[in-house]
Amino acid sequence: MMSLILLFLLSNSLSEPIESRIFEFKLKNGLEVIGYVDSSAPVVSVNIYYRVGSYDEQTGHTGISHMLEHMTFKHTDIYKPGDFDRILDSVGAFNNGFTSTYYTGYYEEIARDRWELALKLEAARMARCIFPDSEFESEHQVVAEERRLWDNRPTSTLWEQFEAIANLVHPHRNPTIGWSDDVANYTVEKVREWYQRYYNPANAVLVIAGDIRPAEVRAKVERYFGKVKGRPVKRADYYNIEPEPAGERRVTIRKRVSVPTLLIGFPTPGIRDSLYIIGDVIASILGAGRNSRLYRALVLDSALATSVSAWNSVEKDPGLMYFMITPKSETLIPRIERIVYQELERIKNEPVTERELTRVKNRVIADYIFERDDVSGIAYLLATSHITTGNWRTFINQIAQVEQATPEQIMRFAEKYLTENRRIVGILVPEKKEPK
Amino acid sequence: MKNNFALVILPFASCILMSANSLLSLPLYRDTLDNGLVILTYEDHRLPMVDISFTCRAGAAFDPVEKAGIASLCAQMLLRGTKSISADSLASILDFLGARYYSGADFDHSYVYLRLLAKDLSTGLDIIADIVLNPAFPKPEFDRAREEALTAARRSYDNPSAVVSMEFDRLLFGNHRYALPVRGDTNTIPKITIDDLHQFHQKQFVPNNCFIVVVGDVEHETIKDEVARRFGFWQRGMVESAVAPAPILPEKTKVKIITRNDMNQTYIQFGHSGISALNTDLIPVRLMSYILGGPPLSSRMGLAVREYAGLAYDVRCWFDRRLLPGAFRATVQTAKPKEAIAKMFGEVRKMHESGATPQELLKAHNYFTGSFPLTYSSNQGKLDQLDNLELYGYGIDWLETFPEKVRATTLEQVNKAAKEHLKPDHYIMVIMGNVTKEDLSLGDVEWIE
Repeated sequence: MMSLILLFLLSNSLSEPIESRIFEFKLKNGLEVIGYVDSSAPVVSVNIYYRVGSYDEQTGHTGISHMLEHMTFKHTDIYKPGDFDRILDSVGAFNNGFTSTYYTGYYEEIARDRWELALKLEAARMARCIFPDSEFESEHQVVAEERRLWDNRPTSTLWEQFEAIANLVHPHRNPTIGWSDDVANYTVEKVREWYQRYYNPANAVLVIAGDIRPAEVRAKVERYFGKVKGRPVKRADYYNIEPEPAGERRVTIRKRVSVPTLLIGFPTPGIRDSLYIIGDVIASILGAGRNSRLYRALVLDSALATSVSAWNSVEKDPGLMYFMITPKSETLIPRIERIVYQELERIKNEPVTERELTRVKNRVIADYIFERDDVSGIAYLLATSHITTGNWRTFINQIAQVEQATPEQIMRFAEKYLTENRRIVGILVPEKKEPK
Repeated sequence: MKNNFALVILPFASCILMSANSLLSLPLYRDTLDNGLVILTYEDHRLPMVDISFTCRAGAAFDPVEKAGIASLCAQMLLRGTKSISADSLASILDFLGARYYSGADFDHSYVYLRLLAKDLSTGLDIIADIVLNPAFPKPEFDRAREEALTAARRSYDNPSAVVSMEFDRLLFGNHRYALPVRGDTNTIPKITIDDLHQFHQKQFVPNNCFIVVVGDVEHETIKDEVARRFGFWQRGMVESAVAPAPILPEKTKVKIITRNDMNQTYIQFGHSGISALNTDLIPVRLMSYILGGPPLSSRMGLAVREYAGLAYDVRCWFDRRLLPGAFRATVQTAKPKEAIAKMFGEVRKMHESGATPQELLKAHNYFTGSFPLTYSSNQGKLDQLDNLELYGYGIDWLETFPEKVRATTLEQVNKAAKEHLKPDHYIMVIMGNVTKEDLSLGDVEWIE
């Protein structure tokens, strides 16, 4: 049930709820297609997402999905290396690929009279890539250089180490780009195997958004993808694999940095828990903006830190609620931690105010409108929502769930999940100078 | 909530709108109040939302070098309280509306941005008017903002790309303000006082030095009237120009190495003095630098360094877009600096000497003209484009004429731009990593110790 204010917004100049602009169908080979009609600009966003990412990788070849993503820009039976970009650049299209925990995605943002070209290229990428040994070697070096960029940023090291101690067994412990030793040891055979296993219509979602007509979409998608053979992929389910934490985990990293960083996290439930969205509400009350509780406590009142932010990162499986703080100095970190934990106790024991809750709800409702400004943005929401939850409607339903959040749910959630035993702390501080 | 602003909105002063209603096919309008404030309105009724930016045509280029960071700090402080409303109350109102907002500065301008639901337009304009006309710069907020700026300045030293870029700017621009980051650095930020912010605001924030852009579910007539009602009384002021950096052309390439034994990759930036965004060669230069070092997967540098040799993940070059001449820069991060530098030097020289090919120019024409409509399909994109066309004086018809101007650019113009604006062997170059002079084999260069 949506509230009156949400219904008002949906019936304003949007003309109709978002669902009425969305259509979907499935090809016989299993390719799921979602369309979003917005004819206000002569632009179409074509997006194809595969159900493969670091979630599917094991020790020894972490990051292989990302390596494969790089290689799919190289060579197909009809396109040579560089052709994808050359062809798309020459029609003024934006395009890129990216790899994440749960998916590997590719997109083209292109003029409405040329979007069929994007389908043609993506169909080739899906089924007809070839991976010559010679091309693998140079791209392998490119990916190794990308990994080195990560090595040379101290905050990236903090993130990597933090995720690794936060997840004892869950694949969330592995960086999407892969561990350095794994990156160094990729083989072209593994890339080919990964491609054969995961790239096919039955393991993909195609989202097309913009100035399109449903009948035209159906005909064109059928033309380019209809004959590609589908092979359903059974994806491992690690939803409940991570054991309940038995105590606080902590890592302190000394690097050549000028400013310390404090990162605190708590495992929070995944999407199969009806209360999971409450984590978003709590993070917002605690750490979103100047009026959030932790900003007030740490930056305005005690002046111990210069910045505070908080967010709950849950796409599918249980994730983490993060608090990221910039302490004014290393010595203040213990005091800052105490204040954070006091605020967490307060949120467990005292109902949040009506104004705090309304602020969060208003923000979510406004964002629902704002995110539709860009057809690529809405395509991203539809694709990721569908891949991670199995239903593109999830992101819309989340708005209604936030609308219904109560102070009691917030207290219950905090009591259960934001506890000392479940705490993960990561600290990045300057190297100690050696005494002369 | 609106009532909070009743006291701060000064009485409506009648003003003449020098209207220049659009003759374009787009719902885009440019109006000028008699005090010189320009209003750009783009009606887009798809969604019940509105984007507003307020821009002052003075940024960090106006800072005294010894107090670099004034413009940036002044812009930050606009959202930290006015004469009638505290920073907390301001944030409380905006957060409660679900608004997105920020303020900042660049070398060329200072700005405030606000996105809110269309139903809150009036409140949004009230807030914009109040923070622009009546900032209070309260001391506790100033102290906090200055400390945040210092933290950000210190943090930039943890980022190898930023360190290399800052050193490149220092060497290229010498005593000019461009030698330091927009936010200033750890030497200059502590010297800034509240009085400096008052002076900057008083001098630069005058209507004939500012413009406001509104995009979204609004009516042009309403915006014109509502802006006039809030800003019509505002008095004109004197407007000055910032001083341009002196172009330098070293006799031979000057190189500085910053040794970092803990890095497994070398970060490199090289280049020389560039051109102004007002230069008549701007479009030929943009086409040429796109061909030379635009997309890493298809530009000349990208193909040579990344695609064929696997030497780097990212390699590119560009000319700064600034009102005063900035820099031409090329950057790369690589474990094999000697090979990457040789290839990048070679590509710049080849472009300088032989220019682009007709096929490359055709591709660049197609990319720029084809992708241009994509850049303003969203409200945010429209706002960005309108900000640029007003700031750089491209003209109200820029959205329609830019593709024509690109198509009209000839190979001769592009090659002339390469000849005139690329200067091989006269670079400033900064290299950071676990390398020595001997590792690089750079030949006849001058080393900066």
